[in-house]
Amino acid sequence: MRARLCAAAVTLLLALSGCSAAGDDGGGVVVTTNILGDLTRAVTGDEVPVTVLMRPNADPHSFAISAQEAARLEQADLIIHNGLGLEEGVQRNVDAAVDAGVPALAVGEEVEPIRYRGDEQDGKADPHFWTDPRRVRTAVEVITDRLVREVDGIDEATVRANAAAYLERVDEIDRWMTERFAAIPPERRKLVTNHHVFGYLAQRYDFEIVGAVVPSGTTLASPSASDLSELASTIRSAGVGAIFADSSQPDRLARVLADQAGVHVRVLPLFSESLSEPGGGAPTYLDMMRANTNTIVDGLGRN
Amino acid sequence: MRAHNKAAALALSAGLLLTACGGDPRPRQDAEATPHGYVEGAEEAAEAQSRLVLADARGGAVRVLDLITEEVTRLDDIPAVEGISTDGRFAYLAAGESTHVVDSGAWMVDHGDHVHYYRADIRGAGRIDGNAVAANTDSAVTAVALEDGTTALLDRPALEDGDVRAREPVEGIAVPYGQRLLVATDDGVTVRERRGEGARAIGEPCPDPEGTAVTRRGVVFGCADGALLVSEDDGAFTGAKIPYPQSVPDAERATEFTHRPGSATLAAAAGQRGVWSLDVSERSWSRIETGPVVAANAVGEGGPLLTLTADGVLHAYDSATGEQIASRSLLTAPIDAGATPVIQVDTSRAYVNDPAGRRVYEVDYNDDLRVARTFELDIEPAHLVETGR
Repeated sequence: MRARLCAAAVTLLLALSGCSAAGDDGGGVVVTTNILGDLTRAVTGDEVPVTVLMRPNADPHSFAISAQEAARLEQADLIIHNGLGLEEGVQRNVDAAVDAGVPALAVGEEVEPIRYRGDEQDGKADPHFWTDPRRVRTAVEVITDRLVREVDGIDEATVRANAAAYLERVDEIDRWMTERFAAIPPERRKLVTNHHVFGYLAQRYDFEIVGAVVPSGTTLASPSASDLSELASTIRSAGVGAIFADSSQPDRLARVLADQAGVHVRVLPLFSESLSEPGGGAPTYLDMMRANTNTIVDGLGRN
Repeated sequence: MRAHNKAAALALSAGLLLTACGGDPRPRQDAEATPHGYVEGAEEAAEAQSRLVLADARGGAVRVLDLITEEVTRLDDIPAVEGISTDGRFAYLAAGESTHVVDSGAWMVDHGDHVHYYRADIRGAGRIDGNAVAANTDSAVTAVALEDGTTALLDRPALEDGDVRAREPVEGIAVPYGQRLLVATDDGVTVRERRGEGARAIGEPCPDPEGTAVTRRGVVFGCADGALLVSEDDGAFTGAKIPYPQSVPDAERATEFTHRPGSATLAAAAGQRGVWSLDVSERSWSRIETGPVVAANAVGEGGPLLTLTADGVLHAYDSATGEQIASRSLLTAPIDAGATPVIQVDTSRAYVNDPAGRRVYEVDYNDDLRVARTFELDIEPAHLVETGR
């Protein structure tokens, strides 16, 4: 009861004072994923408070939010989310806020998403657009326009200048990635991977994604040749010296592949769906792209 | 406590508002909030974090065996466990009038094109009324089918937070599916809202329903005259009958389905005659004339159908031709009447409990039923269920 009275008082004060919502606790911009949060903060600078819901090293599909965060969503000036089914854990919170009249931008829908092909996902849009910096360029432009349009009191000139500066860095990383990947002979541009997020990167830089099933931890405990035959033959026919797999035991996987299947390959990790903590290798979007590019070039560039 | 904090936060924001108009709107820190649904210590993993929940029916001991680390976690004793079931994460240990819920701390979230695996702490989660025989869940509702023909409904997010309070049970066997609840009673299968209200009938009848399985193709209900497959497309639910190929006496009908989670090939005992194999994709039954079995399960997708016979031998059959392709003497002694070994199957291994031998076997079903690992235990594992798949 007390809380409700207090909330009513706040609403009243807001109405009376008529000042920008950007300054109060409930307003500002709320962003779901930490990758979009990084892009958004690059644009806003200190112009408007930005709340990012997804923690570092979290999973965009499953992270959930607190009641306080859900309340903050409903008071946001603008919600920026990935959409295309990525943030399943907070989808209903976003939907509720949109129903309550909060403006929201589903960035994924604005970047000409590519469609999955085959199996049960056929025709569905792939939400992981950030592995293509050109689409990130579009995303930054769309975010900038919406910020200017939706957030009262935001300084348009500052925001557009921030965006222009950041877009230069995005273009630069795109050029740099193109150059770096050019060092990999075309016939070796194959990502043998169990990651499901690199479809956009593959399309942009002309890689082939070769899906791989990585043997489970229980399999590696006591493997037989048949456990590894599928992965081994995938690697052999791709003719690559490295695979990019999420494995909790990458060294063991590499050793078992060598021992049981005679396949000598490095097992390298990539950052896929979340930024890391500071110092974790991918604290920003640009760091993430740089780290992955170096890993891929290092893995495939040598014989 | 939470309401209090909120009031304080609002009061604070009112204060900020009064002083900060046109001021210095710095990005706020958001470290104070613990996300709702966050599980202490939960982490995402690259591969399945399979665990086995084991119960000793005589001594009451309960153990969770981590198949990755091989660590064994001891939980509080539960006397006289009669049965065990799982929704993939929680194990339901039925003992008399109540069912004890164990959080195995290992689970999988299926996103269609990919899956996510998690591991968290292992803990006892409380108990519910009734004797559980099966459990199924979606992200909102967990349905625990009880021996008395009703189904207890639990709020899934609350359960994940350790709150096992069940709502009023619904009559019949309820299975969450397609953001609804499918409920099978003697009157047939109906589609209801998640809280159990409303009821739209599935046209196809299912006399004397017993046994269910959730597959990616839909939910299978065992009926006296075959199986009823209920599937959902864009909010529309349809039933397809998969009749038995011939008239089947009650004693030989499928009443309990087993399968590898995710697979659309089901196994079920066919009385003393053998084992049913139900290919849900092809919508066809076949019966393998194995004779009486103690346990059966199906790998699916071209993999073998596995059976355990009373002599302690594990058998593998080609599920298409019915031909036996491998067998291995596994359990230490012939199986006592009343003992309850089972076969659990995941994407690479099968697990079989050997109560008398105080062991669990890990079997590589793709390699001539090779015993990949043997886990020696300090209890008689009368009941076993695998989680994290």
